[in-house]
Amino acid sequence: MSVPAGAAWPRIRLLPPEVAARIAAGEVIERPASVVKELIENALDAGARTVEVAIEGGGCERIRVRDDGCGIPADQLADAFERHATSKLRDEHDLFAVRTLGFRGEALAAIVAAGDVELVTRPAADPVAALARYRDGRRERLGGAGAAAGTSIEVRDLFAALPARRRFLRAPQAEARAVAQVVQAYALARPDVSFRLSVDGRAALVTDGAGDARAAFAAVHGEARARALLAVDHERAGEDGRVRVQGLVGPPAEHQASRRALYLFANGRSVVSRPLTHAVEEAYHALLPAGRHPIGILQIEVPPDEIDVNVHPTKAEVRFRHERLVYAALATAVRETLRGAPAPGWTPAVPGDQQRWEAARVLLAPRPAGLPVARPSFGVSPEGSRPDVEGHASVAGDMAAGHGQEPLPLSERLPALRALGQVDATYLVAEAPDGLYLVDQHAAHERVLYERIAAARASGRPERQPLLAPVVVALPVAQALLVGQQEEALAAFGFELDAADGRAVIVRAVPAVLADRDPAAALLAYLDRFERETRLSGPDRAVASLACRAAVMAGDRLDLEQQRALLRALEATETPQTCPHGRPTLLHVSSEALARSFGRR
Amino acid sequence: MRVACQQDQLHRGLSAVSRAVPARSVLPITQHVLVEADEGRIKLSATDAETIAITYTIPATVAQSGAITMPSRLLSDFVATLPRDEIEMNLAERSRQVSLSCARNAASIGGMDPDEFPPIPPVEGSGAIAIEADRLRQALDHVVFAAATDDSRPVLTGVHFAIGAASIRLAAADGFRLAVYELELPAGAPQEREVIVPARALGELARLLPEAEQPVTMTVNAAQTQVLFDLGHATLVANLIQGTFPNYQQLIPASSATRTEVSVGEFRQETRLASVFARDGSGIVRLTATPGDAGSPGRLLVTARAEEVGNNEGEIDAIIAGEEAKIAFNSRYLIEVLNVITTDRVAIETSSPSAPGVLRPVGDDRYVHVVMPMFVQW
Repeated sequence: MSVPAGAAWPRIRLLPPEVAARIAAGEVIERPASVVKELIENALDAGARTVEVAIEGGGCERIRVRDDGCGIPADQLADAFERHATSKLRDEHDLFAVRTLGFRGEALAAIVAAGDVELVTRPAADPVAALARYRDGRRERLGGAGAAAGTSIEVRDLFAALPARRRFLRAPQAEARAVAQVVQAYALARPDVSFRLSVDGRAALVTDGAGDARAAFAAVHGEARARALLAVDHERAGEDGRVRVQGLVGPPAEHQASRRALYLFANGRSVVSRPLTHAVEEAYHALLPAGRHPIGILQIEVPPDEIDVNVHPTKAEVRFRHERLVYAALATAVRETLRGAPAPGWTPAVPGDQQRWEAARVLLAPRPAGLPVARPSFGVSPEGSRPDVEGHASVAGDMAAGHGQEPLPLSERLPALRALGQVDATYLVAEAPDGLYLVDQHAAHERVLYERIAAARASGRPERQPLLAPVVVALPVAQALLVGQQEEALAAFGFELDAADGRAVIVRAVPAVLADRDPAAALLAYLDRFERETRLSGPDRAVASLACRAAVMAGDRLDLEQQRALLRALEATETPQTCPHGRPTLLHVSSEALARSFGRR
Repeated sequence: MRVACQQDQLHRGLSAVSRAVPARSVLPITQHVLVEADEGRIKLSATDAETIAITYTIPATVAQSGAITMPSRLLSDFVATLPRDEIEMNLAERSRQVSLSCARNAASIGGMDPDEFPPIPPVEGSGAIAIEADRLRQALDHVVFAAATDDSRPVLTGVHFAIGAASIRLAAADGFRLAVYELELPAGAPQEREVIVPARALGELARLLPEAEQPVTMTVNAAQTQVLFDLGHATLVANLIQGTFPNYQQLIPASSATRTEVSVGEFRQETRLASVFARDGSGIVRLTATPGDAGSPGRLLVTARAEEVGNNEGEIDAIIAGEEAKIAFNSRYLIEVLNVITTDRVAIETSSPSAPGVLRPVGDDRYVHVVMPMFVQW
């Protein structure tokens, strides 16, 4: 804090209530998705059977959540907006045995502080509905209205009065995807409740609320995946408590690159927890390809007094009284389910997707493309060594320890490389007049494709492979939104897409660089990659995603001719030393360093 | 169980069945081979308990019949290194240890309870079809490679069998190309029906076929969920893919503006050369067909370019009917189809740079291959 010279220190004062409310709101309401989360929780706590969420402009312009729950009696409506006003707790003891999703009584107060709110509610027994309208954090109207039973709440111009918060919001499409993630999570947590999400008037997700978890999963991730899921049901009780794990998990053949399709719930509350996720992944140990993650929905139930949900402002974290018991139950539940599958009875199955996996890719810390990077030397990148080649790595380490190599300027072109072979199906070994080169095949190919795709894009007429017959691809909600957002970029790369009903798109052509794989897989893979590509932005991000998808993977065997082609193409690139993410593509051991290492000099 | 058999036969049998063993599995026993000995033979079985099962029978001297499972990989690797001699196998029933001896080598391998081995479903149905092994193999060679390898559309990972009274029409497609082969059935089929057989299973079947000494019988169960190919000494059971195969007839162009007939060998050679240059691009090979005039024959120009490393241009003689044509294809698709065409000459039918191209072996109207061209800058 800076105080103007000569001025007296300002007095310490209590903040005016509106300011205090806004600061507090910031903890609960970080972005539109947090508003949606709080309102869905209120709806569920009110016993709703259907919950409709509609957003516009990523939720910043307008969010409407409507439910058919018990409603708020007119005489209590004003109190509902007070801070720490709730019907869900009575005394402090209740706080240690929370059975409802909400309990702190902060949600409505926080939302009112963050945006303009209009709430209409009617308990089924009451003849008329009650209405409350808040503007700029103050009540503008409180009265009667006509409405269906249940509660409908509309929030407009979120954070209009909190420019600092508003600045930290991402593009509307990104906020919409975050909202979709929240709705998805609750739709999966509560298959007995029908959820509807519409984004800018377009239906993005609909679940039937018939109570079938598999059907809910199908609505979010597609029929085929949902069909493959295995049912989990496991209960464990000991002296140290009781826990039940229920849900669905994917067989080992179903997996994906991100952890986003594994949903964990603790007493019906969506939770994000490293240890819990780890417990599930542990059960898949050695069954999934490296770098791939399991999918599924798991509901953990413990007695309400054995879980502390009051740890984090948004309640995304929870603490269990008997943590080990919960982790053990989770791991055992999943492991036992997997052990029982696939049922050895030749049930007709969808063929597994073992070819679809990609090898693990270890990426270094975020670094914008094109910035100078210290040239890697053997001595400083221990992460690069894999356990099974430790012997080699340590030799290399010794070699470099005494005699590091001379850094080359980054933009310098490579000398002519002669391919000698492949190590670990991951690295190419090459010789040049100035010594030995080790090349990371994936990173190198990524660089080659990156420059080629960028050039093709710049030319405005991308090479593309059309399909013999167009194919309809059903996309997960988040990716369908991404397609809408990325329409132009996708076309600039050679995707020809048409919108179909709901979340489906019609694929007519794919970029030439992706033509060697299934068109639907090419699109999904590109979108999946793009979503995780958080280190770059703008067109670079799209180009890098495409390059990364199309490049050979670590683990792909290349014959000598392919190795030569790759090295020749790498030599021809503008910046051969790094991949688009700034990771090194090659290591150089000079002839001199070799000679010194062997005591020849 | 006490048996003796020849090393080369056991080796061949294990290589054949181990193709059904899954790469990774939650059921440890699917990594095993079931070995059953009785009545002068050893029957080897392996399955992934999901889509495919292979059995293979070899002659043996059976002193005492019995059954055991053994780890497929370990057993195959061990038997492969043994000399060509007689192998004796003795099973200690209680400990489930099998001692193997061959010439001066001996080993002991721990097995598992054969009753726990996933049962291979019996496939029984009325209309079994007899197909000559080498004709079936030729048909499979023509179509299996065109099936999709990615399962985002499961039906395309299979080959569609349209079984008619006097022939089977096999078709496979992966979104970019379509292969259709008409396999005649001199003996006829008792029942018309359509099934989709996983291409992976047919790939394994094609490996087994050269050894077959008798016609292969193909049986589909009554529920249309499984198919059995019986080669006599070997059998392959596969789960059929459920679903509707796309109506592919409409994807075969009815007419063309240009018909270019070339030697398969020359075309393949030029495409391969060009693909070396096309490889680090997107595999794009450009074809330009120029009709001949009074004095000179027509010619087909095959070119590829990779901006950084150079380009390649090859020219071959062609008989061209119709107008001049330009079209670009993925070199891999061209090479793969040219590899399976057995006639000397092939006709390429095209209508425009953006319309599907059709390849037909000249003088063999059983095969049609449709490829979608790539859109490129000319």
